[in-house]
Amino acid sequence: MKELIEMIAKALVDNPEQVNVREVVGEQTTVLELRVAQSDLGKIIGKQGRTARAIRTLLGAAGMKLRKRFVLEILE
Amino acid sequence: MNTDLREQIRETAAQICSCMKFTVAVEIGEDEEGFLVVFSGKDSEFLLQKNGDVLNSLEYVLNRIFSDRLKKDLKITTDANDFRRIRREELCLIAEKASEKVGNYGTTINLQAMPPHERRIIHMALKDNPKVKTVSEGMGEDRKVIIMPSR
Repeated sequence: MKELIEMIAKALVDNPEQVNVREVVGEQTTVLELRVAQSDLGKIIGKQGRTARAIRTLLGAAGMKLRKRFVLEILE
Repeated sequence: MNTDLREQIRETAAQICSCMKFTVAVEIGEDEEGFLVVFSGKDSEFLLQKNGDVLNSLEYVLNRIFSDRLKKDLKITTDANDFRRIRREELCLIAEKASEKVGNYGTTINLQAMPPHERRIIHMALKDNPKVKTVSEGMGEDRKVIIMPSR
């Protein structure tokens, strides 16, 4: 699922070269830590967090098919 | 319209789905509102979970990604398995049933929270009904249509 977050984040931001995703794989849950340039944080989060919520919904749907849980953390 | 942009949108939608491990076919067309991205095939039903929440999220993300390149009055719409048409019929039915109740008993009905285009369908379905009037209330994702007696 790392590719999904990487792909969407790179398409959204102004500085795609600064997009970095780290995958922390757990037994049930996988945490995806996303780092972007400070100036791009707003693009990832969106108005009232709508973009972040939409990305999390997509992640949830992908997890449903694989029967796994994915959590997106956006790090500053 | 711009065929380059069209192919880019299709490509991006297909890429997102393949990253999600969804086996779907992606077609793109143009309508009066902008671009229409249609998903079909084996895994398209995964996009329709939670009353189309996943499909709407995909639509939102695509619009954010291409917002700079789309003209102001254009937008990307998504569909799968004829969901938009079926949902429209469902919403019209909800509107009709609720307006009957409001008309007969003079009560006010709050519908569940809906995204803008779904609220619009409710408003449009009831705009010529003299017995009721409709307003939207609430903020953001919680915004819902309220149907009340017109007097």
